[in-house]
Amino acid sequence: MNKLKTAAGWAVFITDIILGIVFISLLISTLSNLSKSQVIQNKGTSEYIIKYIEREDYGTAGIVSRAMRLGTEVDEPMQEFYMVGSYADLMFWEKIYAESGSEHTAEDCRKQYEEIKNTLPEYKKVFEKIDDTLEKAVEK
Amino acid sequence: MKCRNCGAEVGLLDKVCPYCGSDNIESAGHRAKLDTYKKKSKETVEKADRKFNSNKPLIAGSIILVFLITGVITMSFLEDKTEYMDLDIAHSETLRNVESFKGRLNGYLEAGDYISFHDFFEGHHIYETDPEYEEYKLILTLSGEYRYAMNSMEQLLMYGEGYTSDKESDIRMCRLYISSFYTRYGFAEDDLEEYKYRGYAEDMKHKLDTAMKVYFGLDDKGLADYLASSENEQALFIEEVVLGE
Repeated sequence: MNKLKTAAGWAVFITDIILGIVFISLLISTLSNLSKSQVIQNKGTSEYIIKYIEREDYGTAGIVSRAMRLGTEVDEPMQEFYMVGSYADLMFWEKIYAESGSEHTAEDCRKQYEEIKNTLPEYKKVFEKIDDTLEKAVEK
Repeated sequence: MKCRNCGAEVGLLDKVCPYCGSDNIESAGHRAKLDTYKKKSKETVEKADRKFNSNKPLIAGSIILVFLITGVITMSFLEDKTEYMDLDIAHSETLRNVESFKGRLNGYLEAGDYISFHDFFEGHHIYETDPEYEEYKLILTLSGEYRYAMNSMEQLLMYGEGYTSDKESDIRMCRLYISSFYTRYGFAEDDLEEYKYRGYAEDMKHKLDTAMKVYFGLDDKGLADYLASSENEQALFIEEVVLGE
């Protein structure tokens, strides 16, 4: 009888521990679900953009940077990288708008990338590389 | 019971008569019995206490177990309910502020920024199956294809001199996405006849045509020939343009 009682005690104890772990996991998961509902509209600040610029993958940097123009809040230290990405993106699209007859939009693009260029003089060399890349793309 | 000495009424457990003070001999038996009962009763209580104490951990564990089972069931339910809560909140926002969302969407269309139109649609969890947004269904599909085609071109053509990774898969994807847009546009042409946003769909095609001309150096005939060529020929052409091979 005593052995049975001891075994039952251990069984209950182990089940309590397992259920306790399951309970805590579910609690954390639920709280995480609740917290992510706060950021759904503002997600997307990615630090990968730095890697894209470093690797001279300006197209991807440009694509990623559009999130900022769509209203995503970008952290202060990341903003300049997003602006460099935007520069590449605007350069690419300006040619298409200009050639497709959307001269007004093309002019907007020119104004925006000129403004970025003037705001970030320390990225002069990167801008030159982007200009050069685009020039070669058009020549092709 | 009566006192043997004075005949007064005495209690069963009284040792002496409260009136004359003589010994109450008859009560001795009762008192002995009472002491025995008290002793037995005390032993029974102690035994019950010992038994209860030895079972205490098991009882406590069982009570905790019941609480945990209830808690796990409740938490499972809550976790399931909150899993897509963020999407549900975002989606219900699109139904609460239909006019404002449509204003933004139409703004992107009017500006010819079809990629932002598509990204805004997807990013805010607007469902084209909702009656409020059903009108955008076709333009959304086309803008999705347009987005992939334009993004893949931008990515492929904007690699700087310092980019060293292989571009083969990018070339294949670019060809595929460009082809997908034109194919989808071809399928949609009948539906576009009476479509409210037909002008935007045509402008999208016009912009992709322009990109092909600007960045791939194709004229009208060249573009027609490119679209009529096989998958391999298209891939070889893009490879030639991008890699100069």
